[in-house]
Order: sequence, then C-alpha cells, then structure tokens
Amino acid sequence: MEIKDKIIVRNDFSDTPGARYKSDGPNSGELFLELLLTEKFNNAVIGNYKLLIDLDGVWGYPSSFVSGSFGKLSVDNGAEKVLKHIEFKSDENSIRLENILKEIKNPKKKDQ
Amino acid sequence: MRTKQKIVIGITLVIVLLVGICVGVFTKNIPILEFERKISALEALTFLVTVAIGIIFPFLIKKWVDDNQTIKIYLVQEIEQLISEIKENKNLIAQTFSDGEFKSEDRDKINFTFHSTELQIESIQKQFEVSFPNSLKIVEDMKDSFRVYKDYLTGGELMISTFDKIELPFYREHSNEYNKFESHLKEMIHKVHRI
Repeated sequence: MEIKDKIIVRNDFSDTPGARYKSDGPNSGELFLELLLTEKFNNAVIGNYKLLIDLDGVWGYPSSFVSGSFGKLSVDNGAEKVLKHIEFKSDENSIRLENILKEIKNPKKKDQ
Repeated sequence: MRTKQKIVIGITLVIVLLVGICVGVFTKNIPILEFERKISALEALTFLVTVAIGIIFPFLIKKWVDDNQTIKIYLVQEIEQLISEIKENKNLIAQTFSDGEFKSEDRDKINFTFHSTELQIESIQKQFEVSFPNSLKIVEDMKDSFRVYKDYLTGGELMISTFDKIELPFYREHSNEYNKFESHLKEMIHKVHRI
C-alpha cells in the first residue's frame, strides 16, 4: 500500500507531547487525536493508502500521550485497521516504536 | 631405648618390608614395552593429529572463554550505564520532593531521560542479537519491566500540568516502582554472567 500522507510530530504538533486528555494540559494525546490523527487516518482508510507518522525529534512520548492518541484510535477502529493504514518511522529510537505498536495491539482502555 | 621408640622402629621396619614386597611383585609383572620399527601412514597421521589437538585445543578454548568473558563484561557495563541513566529520574523525584515544587521542565527532563534510557536499551538489545541471540528473552523481560516503570511515571498523574508538588505517598510509591526496575537490572547482570 502506497504512502500518500504524513505527520511529522515535532513539526505538525509538538516536540513535547503531553498527557492523555485535553483537560490534563497542553499537547495532550486527545488533542493530537482530534487535531490531526483521526482526520488523516480516516482519509487514509477512505483513499486506501498509508499514513506515515514520523516520531523523531521529540523529548519523549509519555505513556499517557501514547494511550490517549494511538491507543484510543486503536480502541475506536481496531488494531488491524490502524496498523494497515499507519506506518510509523523512528530512525533514532526503535524501543519507542515497539512501545507504540504494543499500545495499538493491546490498548489500555481508560474512562474519563 | 624406651618402649615407645621400639614400637616406632618396629612399625617402620614392617612398612619398609611391605613396600619392598609390593615393588618386587610390581616390577616382576610389569609389561615390557616393545616398539615396532614400521608404522603405517594412518597411524602416523593419527599420532600427529592427536598431538596437534593436544597443543592447539587448549589455546582455542582459552581464546573462546576469554572472548566470551570480554563481551559479558562489556554488556554488564552497559547495564550499569542503564542503571545510572534511569537513576536520574529517581534523583529528580527526590530533589523535587525535597524542594516542594515540581515544574514543567522537570516533566520534560523525565521524558527525555526515558528517551535516553530507551536508546541504551536498544544498544543492549543489538549486542545481545549479535553475541547471544539465544538469550534474547533476558532483554525482552527487561523491556517488560521497563514498560511497567515508564507507564507508572509517565502514564499517570505526574504528566498532568496541575501536578506541581510531589507528596509523600507518590514519593514512596515511586521509590517502590523504581526499585523493582533497578532490581530487575541487577538480576540481569547475574543472568549475563551465567550465559
């Protein structure tokens, strides 16, 4: 499947990802999901292409951010569909990549 | 001459007599070695190979053991480096607890320390893949333990922007979670030595 769109987290969102919910403070996973991820993911599903997400160049990804964005997307759409239409890239940290993929495959369900 | 001395001399004489008998019987029955002047090429080759193995093998074994030991020592140093990196979080939590103030920059430092720690884990994993590919479970277990600690610190209240002070219950709970991960890393050092 061809890659036709991308999100560079450090440029398009922030280099300091925050907590889970918007009410938790700036740059939350929920904000990332609402501002960028959901729309671009849905477009990728409709257009049957892949969305590339570049994870490099940030201070780190707190577990709550990962859960509130990628985990929530997986809960709403299913891990298989998410992994079919999103490709992650991290040249600087493969463990970060593994942690995000684990979260998508086994999302922690949190109730607000 | 006292009785005690007489007994000692008597026992010595008996022992000398018995040893003499034994030596006589042994030398009488010892097989006589005879060497054939003609040997086959196969026997000569076998003899040379045996001598070569006898000389070369100890050197190879020693080199293999030494190389293995060097790699293990290096891996242990890498794990110790990981412990010292993750300890920065423990020190920061202790410092901010004592200061009575937790700032946004402290949150960024914690996230960056986890990023550095992940790079260190990646490095250890790569070395295991090259040198001990059959022992990768040790690294997988360590990564699971790391995720539990990271989820505790960056998956909860500490990441919320209104969290501006470390209270005693959080400090205690964090110490427990930190110690679990540090203990896991120390156990890992023992496991590396036992590979």
